[in-house]
Amino acid sequence: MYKRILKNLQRATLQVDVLLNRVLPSDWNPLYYTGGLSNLFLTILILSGIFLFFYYVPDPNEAHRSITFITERVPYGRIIRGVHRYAADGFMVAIFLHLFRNWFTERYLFSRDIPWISGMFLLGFAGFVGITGYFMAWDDRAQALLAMTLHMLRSIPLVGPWLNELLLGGGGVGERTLVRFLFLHVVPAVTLYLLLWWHYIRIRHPKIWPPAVWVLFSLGLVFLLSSLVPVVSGVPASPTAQPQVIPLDFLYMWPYWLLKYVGPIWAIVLGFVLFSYGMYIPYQLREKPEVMGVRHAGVAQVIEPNCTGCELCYYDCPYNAIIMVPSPRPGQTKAAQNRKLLAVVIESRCVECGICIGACPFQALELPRLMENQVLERVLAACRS
Amino acid sequence: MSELEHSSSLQSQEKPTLKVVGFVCDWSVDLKGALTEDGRLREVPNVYVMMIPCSGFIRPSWLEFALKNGADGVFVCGCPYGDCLNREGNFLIRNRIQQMRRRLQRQRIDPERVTMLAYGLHDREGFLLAIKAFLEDLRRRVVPGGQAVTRAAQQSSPNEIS
Ligand code: SF4
Ligand code: SF4
Repeated sequence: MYKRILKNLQRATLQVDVLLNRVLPSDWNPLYYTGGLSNLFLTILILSGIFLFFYYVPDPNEAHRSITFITERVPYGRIIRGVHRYAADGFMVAIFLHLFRNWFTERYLFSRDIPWISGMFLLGFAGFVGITGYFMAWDDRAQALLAMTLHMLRSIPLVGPWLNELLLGGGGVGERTLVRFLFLHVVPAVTLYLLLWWHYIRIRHPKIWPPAVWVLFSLGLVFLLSSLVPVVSGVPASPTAQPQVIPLDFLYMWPYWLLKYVGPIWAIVLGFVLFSYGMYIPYQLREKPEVMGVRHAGVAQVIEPNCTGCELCYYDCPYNAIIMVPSPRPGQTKAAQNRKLLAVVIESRCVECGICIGACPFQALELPRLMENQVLERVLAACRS
Repeated sequence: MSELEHSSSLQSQEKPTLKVVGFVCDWSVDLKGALTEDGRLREVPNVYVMMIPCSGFIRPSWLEFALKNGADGVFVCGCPYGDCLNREGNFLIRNRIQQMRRRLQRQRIDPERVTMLAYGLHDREGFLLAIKAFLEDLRRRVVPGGQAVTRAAQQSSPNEIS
């Protein structure tokens, strides 16, 4: 049942691709660059964020005024602020596209679970950075959010009240509060880069930028939006104002939407369950090797006597599964006699794709269950029949 | 043009059994149910298909081997460019096939007998259309004697000018 739903989702995803490829050359299909688009938006966010950071004052009395100052007095401040806001939405959209696309097209199999797991952390951190961003404006919306957050945290047994104090930096909103929020906005944003390193570590030549058209398009879009629909703050937060219900941005604020329907503790539990399930996805529907057939042809093996140390497989393996080590002894074939290096496959990283087989011109690599002579035998049989 | 098509259909009568060997990535076109027991395409029975883990798995020497052992044409099919499960397999094999074509040209083997296709999991129709077009093209290139013509001979034929 669940499997069938996923299969249908996969079909739908790929059908969209087919349609888009009719309109655009496939190298430009934006859905092939959701990761690159996320990275592009992240870069826009970081750059505009640095600009805003110069002017922002993390103090409950000053924050709102400093943002008004940015918007009204600083040259291009209004635009940059808008860019920061809209790029954040673009970031989330791109991340979710990236997540769902890779989920539905099963790009988490074998050792691809490393990008998947790090991706879950990236998602969590990105959402967190987004939410803390809403507090920066320190208007009535931020105040309402704060009330809801405190309510949620307080519902955690035992540590709840303590977490409350930790977040606020004291018994109530004070001088230290916004400094903490700024910290929680900036530090996880920087941590995203650490996580990205983990995300890319097993990927050779990761596509971290979309094609130039899409870079220009996204840039144009956020700039255009920020000048056409300027971002505005609400009224300044004040201790006397009553937090009211306000329209929430669904992309980042869905945990708060949940509060309408479930108790605060359940919203936290649900978030936690979703996150854990996300981590479990790559291991959930692993097929048995017998049914995988040619998709599970065994970890690539180096035929040591033939390897010349030419490094071609090392450059082409998409998962950095091949490393070159100093050759312990000369190879046996003529070409391999004077080798300095030897290719070694790290088994835990190999996804059994066979790309290194195609790369090796010296017949020094084989997939154990789909050996070169088997392929050639079948080709011969086909030619003779 | 109609004359050409006419002559090509004549040729196909004389040599109805073009042999084509294809390597299809298991993640690209879904051919479940479209293959016969011995691995031929049901719709185009002179195409023998072998499923492989990724289009990048193919060594160009295997394609050459097939051509030299009696196949009239060979093709590799991967996912649409940009959508390779392994991100690069289809780009790599595309480049390798391009290099190989130059090699074939030097050996006076018609490089158009090798082709690279890219179709996604649910694009079987597109794939079959491309295969049929490829066969049609091959038929034009195969002289009645049975051997596919070389590039040099091709160059003088009118349908090569484009
Ligand atoms: S089969 Fe080869 S190219 Fe593919 S992941 Fe394993 S070592 Fe790398
Ligand atoms: S491509 Fe082949 S010969 Fe070259 S280093 Fe890799 S295994 Fe050795």
